[in-house]
Amino acid sequence: MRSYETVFKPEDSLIKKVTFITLFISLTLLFLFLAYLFFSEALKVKQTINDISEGKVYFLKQKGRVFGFICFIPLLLILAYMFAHGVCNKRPTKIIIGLVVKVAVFCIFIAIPTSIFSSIYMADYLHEKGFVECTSYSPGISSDFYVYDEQFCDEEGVVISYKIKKWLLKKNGQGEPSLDEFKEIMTLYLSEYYELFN
Amino acid sequence: MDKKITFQTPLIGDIKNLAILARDLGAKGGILSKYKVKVYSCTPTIIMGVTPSLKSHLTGTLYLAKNPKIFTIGLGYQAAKSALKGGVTLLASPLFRSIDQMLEDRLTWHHFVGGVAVDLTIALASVLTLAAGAVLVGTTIAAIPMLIVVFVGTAIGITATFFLEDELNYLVEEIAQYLIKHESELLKKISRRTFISPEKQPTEKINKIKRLFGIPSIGDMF
Repeated sequence: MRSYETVFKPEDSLIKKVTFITLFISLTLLFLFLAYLFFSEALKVKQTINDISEGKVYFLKQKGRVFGFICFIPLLLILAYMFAHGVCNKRPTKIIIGLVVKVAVFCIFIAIPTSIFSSIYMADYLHEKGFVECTSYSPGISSDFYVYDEQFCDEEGVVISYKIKKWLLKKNGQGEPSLDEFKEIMTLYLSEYYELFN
Repeated sequence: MDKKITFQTPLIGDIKNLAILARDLGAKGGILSKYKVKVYSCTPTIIMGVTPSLKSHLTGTLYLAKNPKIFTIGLGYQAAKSALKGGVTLLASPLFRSIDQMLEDRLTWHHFVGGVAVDLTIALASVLTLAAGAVLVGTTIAAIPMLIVVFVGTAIGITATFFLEDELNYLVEEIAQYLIKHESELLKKISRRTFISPEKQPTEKINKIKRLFGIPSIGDMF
């Protein structure tokens, strides 16, 4: 006699079984990948902080919130474990489901303040290092964008912010960026954009 | 074909009928089902359009529920649940995109459409996650507590925005630029499809009225 409950019933169609097993596999891998992504992103932010102190970074997105994200790693690992049960056609026990709920509540309570404080700390640190927040390049829900020199923050760039940010970030670690080069690329992107309306 | 059935309160209740009705509403999409509350002779009455499948369970034209408040709340709750199961992000998306639209002068309707389209994919991801979770724990998506639905939708939205910000913005801009490029073509197609030629008026009667009031004739327009 089986000691566990199965997810699928014998009368369930093959399509249903295949669809949900694929979903369970995808979600298990996704949660593991997210746990890795959160951790690696936090390491990247830490590396960026080191690079700033060494003067290698000129432009950056303020991603201090990532330290709040790493608080969710235990939850992601438990969720991956829970969905892995589905791959083996096992229904997770009530203990596992209860644990997921408890860990989720705990993670939320830890992650929200961590995220707020780490974001404030990061913003303060950047201001201290002479960086300026460029609101023109941070429209809507985008992360705050910081530039080392205010001249690189052009108000007109708001319409092509997603393009110009990419270009600016590539300039990190390549020595002092040229303002003329920046103006040239800005003119090019803007002309491309306004061409659309004519 | 939908048939109008009037449910009158209070007197005798029937929870089974309510459950069948709720299921029927859920199957139809819930939020799209039309129902209104009217008061006839001091009695609150719910009038609603339901599918013919209900006729086997509700044979009369008038139905009575034990508690009118519970009945009404039950319907509202069911409709809200069905709507939310369609994706929290999807419901929240137009609201947030509208705020964005108001704050950013450069954004046009093209960006709004592009933004909602991108949010739709995020909503789909949360619905898929919820569906998989529901099957795994042996329940239905409708039975998942609202708090979990909101949490999953928000978590996926925040994570996607944080890590795929550039990609999502790029996608929104690409859709917006496509719409800008093909705007005139699209509008032409839409106007062609929705054009309805006006019905000819009964000229004799109209002419009589015109003569009566001394209105000059200016062609077929009036």
